[in-house]
Amino acid sequence: MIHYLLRLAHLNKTGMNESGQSLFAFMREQSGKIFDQLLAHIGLTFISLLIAVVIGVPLGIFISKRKKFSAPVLGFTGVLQTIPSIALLGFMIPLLGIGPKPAIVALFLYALLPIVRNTFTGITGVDATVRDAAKAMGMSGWQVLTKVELPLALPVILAGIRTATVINVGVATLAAYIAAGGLGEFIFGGIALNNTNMILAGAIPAALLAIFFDFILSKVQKVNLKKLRKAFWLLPVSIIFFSSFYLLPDLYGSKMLAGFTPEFMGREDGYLGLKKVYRLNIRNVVISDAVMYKAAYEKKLDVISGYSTDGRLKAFDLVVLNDDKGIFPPYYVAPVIREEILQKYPVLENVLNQLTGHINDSIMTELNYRVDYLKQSPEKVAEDFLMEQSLYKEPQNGNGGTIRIGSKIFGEQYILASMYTMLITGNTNLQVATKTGLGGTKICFDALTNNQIDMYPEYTGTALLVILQTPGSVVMAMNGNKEKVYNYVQSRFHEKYNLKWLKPVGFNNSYALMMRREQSKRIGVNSISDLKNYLDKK
Amino acid sequence: MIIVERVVKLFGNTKAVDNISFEVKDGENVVLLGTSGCGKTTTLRMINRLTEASSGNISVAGKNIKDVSQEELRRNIGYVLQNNGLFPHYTIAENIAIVPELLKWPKQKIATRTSELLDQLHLPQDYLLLYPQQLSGGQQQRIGLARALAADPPVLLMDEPFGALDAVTRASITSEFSSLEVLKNKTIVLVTHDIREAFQLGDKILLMDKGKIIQEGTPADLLFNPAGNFVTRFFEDQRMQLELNAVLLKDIWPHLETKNNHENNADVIDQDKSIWEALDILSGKKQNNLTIKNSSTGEVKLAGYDSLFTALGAFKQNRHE
Repeated sequence: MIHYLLRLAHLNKTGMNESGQSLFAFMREQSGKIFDQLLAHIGLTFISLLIAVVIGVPLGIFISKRKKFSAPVLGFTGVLQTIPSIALLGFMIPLLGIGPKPAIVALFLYALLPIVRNTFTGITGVDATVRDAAKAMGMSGWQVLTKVELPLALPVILAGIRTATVINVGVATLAAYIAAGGLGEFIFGGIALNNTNMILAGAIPAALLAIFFDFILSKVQKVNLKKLRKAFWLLPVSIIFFSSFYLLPDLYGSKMLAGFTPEFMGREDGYLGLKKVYRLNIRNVVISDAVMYKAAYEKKLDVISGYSTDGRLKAFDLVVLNDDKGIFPPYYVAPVIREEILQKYPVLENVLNQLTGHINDSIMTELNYRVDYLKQSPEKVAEDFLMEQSLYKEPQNGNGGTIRIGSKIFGEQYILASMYTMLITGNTNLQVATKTGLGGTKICFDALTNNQIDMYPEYTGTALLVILQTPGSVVMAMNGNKEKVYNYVQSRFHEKYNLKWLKPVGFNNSYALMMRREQSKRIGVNSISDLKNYLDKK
Repeated sequence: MIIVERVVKLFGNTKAVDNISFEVKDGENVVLLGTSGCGKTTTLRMINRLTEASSGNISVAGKNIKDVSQEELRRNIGYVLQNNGLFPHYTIAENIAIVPELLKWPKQKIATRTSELLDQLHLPQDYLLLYPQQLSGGQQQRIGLARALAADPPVLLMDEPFGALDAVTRASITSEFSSLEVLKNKTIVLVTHDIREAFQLGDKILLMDKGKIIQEGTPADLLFNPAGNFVTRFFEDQRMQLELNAVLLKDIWPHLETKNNHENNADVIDQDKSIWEALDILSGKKQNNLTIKNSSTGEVKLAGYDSLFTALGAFKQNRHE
């Protein structure tokens, strides 16, 4: 949670163009969606919590009776806790596919440690004299457990359940990455779309939810021991009640299922456009880019929103559906550079423009494939390619100043940053410092305007829609024409930010709908219109 | 009746209890006395199988304790612990009712029994709905005793029952215990390291050291016929007071002079009382003499400070011969 709130603070400080709408207006407009996400969020949290309590409490009791098992069990649940949430969700995909199942299992694993540990601590912490007295009165082992140990350990066990609940509310936001819904849909959508209102519409309810449940459980914990015995039975009942908020949606029906990224869901040139322009109606789930391609390959999804030059297109044998009505604006990449730097080192312009015309869509896909799938280093791929194209020159190791090159956090950007580095060091006496892996558009662009970096490769479509937040009417007027878009962003960047767009490299990494090649052939769907007709027929 | 035969308890290679045997007759109060770590508590806990003996046999009421289930055995043996071990989440009433509940007594019978016990232990009825932590240490200890007595077990095991109390409370509660009606017919095994407590409460004392019984006998036996240096040294510090407590007026009866012209205004004391109690009355009343009565024969004798100490001296002389 804190991670997202920090991100929010960062976004607010830099004050990018927002559509003028207030947060309140946004939340009111989206109240239905927020409510659905909230219910899904509560459901995810509590179903996993329920399983964790059902398994964790007996496990904690067991290891408190058989002490030799306590170290391995607590150690194992502790290790589970250290696995990063995204990684854990990732591990679940091959085993359980996408959707609520893997999310619940992951959340369950996270909730396990606090519950098992606190049960263990609570029971072993019961006063030895009291336990002795219970035995001496003639209670059986089971009676000692249920009448003495559990009631006395209850406050500690409840504290564990409380910790687990708060952890789960937080981690459940990540469930949106694997199509399990929840408030994460808004949070990640908002981050991707640079829409603060959307982030807050997800983050605020999530934070309030955590605070609310923490508060309620702290009250339950303070109830006196006598009433606690009744509360002990109330607890599972309320957990089951909350769990029921989330009726497992049937993800594996007969019809086609689409998986879209949170970003795609909220964009005019994404899902909104598909609905408006193509009147496409397809059952869909929200899912992270990181697992989407694999899910399509494994037939968990049929249609996904990807990028047209993504290496995984090749790796997972997917095909791009033709955008016959042109709703996806062109995303031609070009280096964006601070004009100050160009004036200081005019030689840069020609050097950087050398790449123009050497890379088309399929070449870029191939290069991305080598990095993302064959796990070659971006530097190696960049060097091999430049050599092949006879653009490579040995570095001059000069000392004529340093150019700081940034990149976003994915393979294609790493490759381009490496190529530009080699071109600069090979053709000039300048040095290069790379700052690769800057989180996203927002972070890259802020770094550039705040003089933290001097240049980075940006896409015309991203500049048009995300950075400039160009009104829909202006975008429509350009009708997806790549020159018009390029000219527009070039002039706006110059006026507004003193940034220069150099020549486009030549490939178009736009949004695209894609399918498995085999399925596309089998049902004869080659374009988005084909897809619509196919779906309507059924 | 409790019979302990050649019982050994090993913890690893250490012999906590080393081949001990003794008997406790019905209605007898036996005290296991000794310093910390002498094995007295372990011995006690083996009787209700909170600790299992490594070898040897123990039988309670004619049955080998291994032939009875642990639960059944323990429900018929009251147990009082040093730190009372009351359940903090149970009210006083619920705490007292634990064993009757386990024995599935009807509710009404349990309620009657609980309030009866409070009366017998001189505790007010409105304690029933309080929780243990709302009572003082001495009161908690009495509730602990009430709990042990709830199902009226014939046998009572007490592990340092007054050990956690301060000296003043301890002295008063000890003397109160010795006069409690409910304890009169119980077979009691009590563990303590406090010599005065042992003398006050025990019909028979087993003095233990390093897992062995060094001497077994009445308080007077231990004082006047010690079975070696250990026993003598053990009582050295408080010898005078212990002797006055241990020797009863009837023991020195033959050494007291018979006086027919007894003073009418002198207090009367029964010959079953100790010399200590007689001295106590003399110092309190600022009298020179008091009348000692043999309740079975009706005979009386008159005694003052001097004659009591002279008689004690003569009594000790006799025992050594």
